[in-house]
Amino acid sequence: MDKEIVLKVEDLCKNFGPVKVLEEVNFTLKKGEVLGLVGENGAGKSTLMNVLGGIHPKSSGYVELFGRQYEPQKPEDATNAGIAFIHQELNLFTNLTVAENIFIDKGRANKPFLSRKEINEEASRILGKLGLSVDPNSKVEKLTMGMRQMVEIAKAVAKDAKIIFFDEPTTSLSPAEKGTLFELIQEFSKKGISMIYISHALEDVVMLCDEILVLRDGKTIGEQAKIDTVTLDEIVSRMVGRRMEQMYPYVEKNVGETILSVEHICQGRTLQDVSFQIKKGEIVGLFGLMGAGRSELAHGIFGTEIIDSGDIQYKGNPVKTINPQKWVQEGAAFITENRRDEGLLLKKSVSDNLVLCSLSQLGKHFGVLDSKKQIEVSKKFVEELRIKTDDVMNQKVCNLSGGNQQKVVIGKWLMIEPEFIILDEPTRGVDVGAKEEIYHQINHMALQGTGVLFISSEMEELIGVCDRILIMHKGQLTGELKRNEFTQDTLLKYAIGELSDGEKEGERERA
Amino acid sequence: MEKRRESVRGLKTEKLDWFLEKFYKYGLYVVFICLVLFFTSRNSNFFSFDNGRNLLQQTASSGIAAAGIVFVMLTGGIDISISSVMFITAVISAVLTDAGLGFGGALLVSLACGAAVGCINGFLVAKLHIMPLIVTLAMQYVVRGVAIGIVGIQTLFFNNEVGKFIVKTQVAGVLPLIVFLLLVIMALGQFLLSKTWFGKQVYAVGNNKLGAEQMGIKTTRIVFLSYVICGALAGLAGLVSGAQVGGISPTFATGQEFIIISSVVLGGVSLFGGKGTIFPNAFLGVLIMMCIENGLVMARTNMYAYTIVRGCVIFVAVLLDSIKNRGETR
Amino acid sequence: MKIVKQLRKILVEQSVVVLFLFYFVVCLLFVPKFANMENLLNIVVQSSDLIILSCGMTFVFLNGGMDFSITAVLALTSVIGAKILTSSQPVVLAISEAILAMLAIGLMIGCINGFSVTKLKIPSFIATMATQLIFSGIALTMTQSNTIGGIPASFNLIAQGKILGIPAPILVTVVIVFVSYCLLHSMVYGKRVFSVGTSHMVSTISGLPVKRTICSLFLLSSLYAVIAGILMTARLGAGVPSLGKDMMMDVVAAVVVGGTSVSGGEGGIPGSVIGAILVVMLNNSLNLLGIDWYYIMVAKGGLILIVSVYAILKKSSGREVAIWTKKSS
Repeated sequence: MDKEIVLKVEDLCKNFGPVKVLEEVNFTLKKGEVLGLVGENGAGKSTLMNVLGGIHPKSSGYVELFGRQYEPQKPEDATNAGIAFIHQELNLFTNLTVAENIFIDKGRANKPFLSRKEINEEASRILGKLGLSVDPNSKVEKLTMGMRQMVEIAKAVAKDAKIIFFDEPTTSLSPAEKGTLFELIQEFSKKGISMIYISHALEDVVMLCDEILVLRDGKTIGEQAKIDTVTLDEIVSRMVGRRMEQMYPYVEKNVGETILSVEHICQGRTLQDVSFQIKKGEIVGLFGLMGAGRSELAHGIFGTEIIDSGDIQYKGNPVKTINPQKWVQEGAAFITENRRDEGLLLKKSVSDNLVLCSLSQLGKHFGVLDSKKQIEVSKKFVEELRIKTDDVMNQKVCNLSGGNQQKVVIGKWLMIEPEFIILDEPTRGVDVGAKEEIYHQINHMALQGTGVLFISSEMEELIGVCDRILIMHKGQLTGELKRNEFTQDTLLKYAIGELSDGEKEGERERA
Repeated sequence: MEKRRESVRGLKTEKLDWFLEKFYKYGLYVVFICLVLFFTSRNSNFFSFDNGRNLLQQTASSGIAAAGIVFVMLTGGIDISISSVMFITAVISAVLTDAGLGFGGALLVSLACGAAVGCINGFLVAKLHIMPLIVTLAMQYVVRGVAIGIVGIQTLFFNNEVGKFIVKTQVAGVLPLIVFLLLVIMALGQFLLSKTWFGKQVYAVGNNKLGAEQMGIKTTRIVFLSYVICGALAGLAGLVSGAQVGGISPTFATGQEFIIISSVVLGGVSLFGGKGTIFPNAFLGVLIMMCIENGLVMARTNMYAYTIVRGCVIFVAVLLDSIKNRGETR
Repeated sequence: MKIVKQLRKILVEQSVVVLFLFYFVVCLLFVPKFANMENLLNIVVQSSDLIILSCGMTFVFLNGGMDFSITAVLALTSVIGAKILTSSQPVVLAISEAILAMLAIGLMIGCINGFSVTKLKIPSFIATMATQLIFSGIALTMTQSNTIGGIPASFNLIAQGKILGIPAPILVTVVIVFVSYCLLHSMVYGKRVFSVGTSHMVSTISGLPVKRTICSLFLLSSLYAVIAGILMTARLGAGVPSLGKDMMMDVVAAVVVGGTSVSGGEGGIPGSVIGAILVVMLNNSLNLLGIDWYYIMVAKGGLILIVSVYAILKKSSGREVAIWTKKSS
């Protein structure tokens, strides 16, 4: 029964500056076993992977690999030690062939020349071992996502990996491809390869893994447990079991008429027939796990991503051309998930960022910039939002803390006095104090009649702030909960696809 | 993230994609044949063995330089200093061969001299991360200035023994030496790209630089070496071209860089990195470009109209490339 | 200590000004015949074309782009202007016709550039290179590479006349600099240009008209080239199909030295103006020292490289902070 321990992690900590991302993580991985690693978004799973993969150095703690101390300095160290990573975003070169991708770093082993025949044969052998019928000579860009995943796995096999990390490997796979992947994982396990399987699809984790470990807020919750000793409900409660704190201020609002109505939005496989409405002064939450299509929906509505079909009505009028410029003119705002690349001009000053959306209002005659007004409104918003900055006009946004950066983003949209706003993960990477202020701002907006679509993967904040929560799973809206129906369990069950609206009604009838 | 940018792009449709893929696969040959037919119809001498050989001879220097720039373009960079490199090596080899250097020596000197400029470019681009366009633009002026400084502003004549040897020698009786050189360089370059891990890593860097770095590929070194190769081959092209033209004036090879870049883009090497080959892509591109120029000469077109045609060809080539490759995330 | 710190800040942030003043003093002290009124005035007059072109190029650079076509605009406007001026009567009508035609051509080329970059998504350096070849080719074909002389003297007054004792080109330049400065630094449009240049994505999501803004940059750059073309044609009193052939380097040098970052979003008109004067001063002083033009070319190329390296090093010294904040989010 007692297998050899291949990887032992003791009291592993990782800080980024003052922020603790991993705190005293403990676990062991035995030979030939599959360890399921679950947790909400931001629980620290990817950081854990990055620390073990040599991308970030650990802050403290002890890691033992095959009985020896293991301190990777760079990604190569992990590879040489026999650890392979299958990332969610695949690390393949689409312009090269399958075989070339599998052996690309052979060049590092001082082998200058490659023989196409040789690598193709070797690749075929490996692919054959994996039971795959991919032509090793075909370019990766021609393969489906599932096939690409298999190539990534073949890469790990070619490197003779003893431990393989899978990070959400199933998000872009078809059911059949998923089946193949699971068979492979079981096969590997028999051959003595150990695996860590990170996924939001709990049913897969339960089916595949021998043991399970729950991470929450960078800490391991409960002991690492044999999979047959815990139930799905227990896992869910470990994942979410955070106390509801007083920081979520809910206020009663006057909900008015419908401001935005979205009908039958479709986009490839990411969005399938999504319809919903938002009323004036209403805060509607949108919950879903990673890859459920929440951000894609937001971008589709705002016109930064092209949708295949669907209608949008705004203030009762159909929106014909969907583009951000039009939306901003109409008084709609969009706080994106990616603050650095889509929300802020990092190299520019606080003030320049604040006035970005309302530039046209700053013009006097002939488009002359009213710099007095710019200073005035910037100062006003800095004060109102309590943005901590030394110099509104000159301090660059990249020198602000995460919370203050986010406040700048909110401020820039508040300036256009939006009637409808989409917030995509507005509290990510923001400290507790700033979070609370952001919730207040959201409430404040709603009280003034703004319709709010609040996308988040933190259930607590949605439950705390929203009037209504929509839940997405695999590109579809699976449920809609009223305020009195909010519980973390139901939300998560909808989000992992265990419940959908049809079933809920069935449940009600039984009750 | 990147997916989003891709979808804002707009221009692309599946039909167009299909067409472009086929175009770069077969269409270029069709274009080439059509061009040959067209110019033959204007002047029956066009389609002849002599003119064919002539065409290949004219292709030699741009072809050699093109083989070099493919490396840089595959990494997603650009090198517009190659015209000046061609000039300086032409000048240096002319001067040194006058002083008694042999063909082998001239070959080595021009390769080394080009490689030296490539080293500077490579260092500034790969190590210091300065925009390749600005670096190579500045180097273009610096190198040309230095070269003129060596010989002064008078036209230099490269018609000594070595010059004649380069132009006149026929390998095995029929194949001109410079065409032989072109074929060898192209074959070697293509071998480097498709049969060595270095070549594969060049493609990898152009496709996904961050990913390559994460996999432990030494991207800085790869990019640096690409510029060195590009410089060295441009140097060799300068030697060939200098010997061919004979009179090397201070404006020697000016504007060549854009002709060469657009030829290889026309052949299917992407400006956005990671796509294309030396053979057949770059070769075919240069051949078509030469064919157009050669044809225009034979059809006795106004010589000032060349630049217009060149501009149009560049435009079409990069337009097709933009439609095909822009926004492809990897 | 505080003074040292302050001094260092000025040295780092206003490096163009420091470089300019330093070089000016060096020239005054060591270059013979440099420090007389005539020569200095000469520098100012010579700077006017370059300043105008550099201002135009600054706009394009701010978006991380490049505009090689300005030399073609110079050549083509010069040729077409001269053609109209020499063939039309009466003179007043001819002059206005010519100027209108020149403007129209410039705007057309600007439009083509803008369209190619925003709609066809061709990288700007190669799109403008194509238009440069095409339109300078047209200029050459039209004239068979010959200069068109015989322009009415009243047109030449544009460049050779004086208003209140000040040469007209200088007045035009001052107006252009003032307008560009206002456009970029004290108008809403300028904020838009800087935002778009810093990040297309952020600007798009913030509802700015990104494509329209980029298009306008190319239009402005062409328009400025037309103005420079008018001045130069009037100064030479002839339509020259190779006009401005060698100016590209000076323009790039002026803008880069002026601190406008090639990667977009940083820089401005004052830097480019000082950069342009510095480049002309460099040309002038090295000429006075009897240095050949090709070595001056080397010097200017070297200047571009050194300034670029300096800018990168300056940035990377502040990078530690940036990397840290990146990880923490």
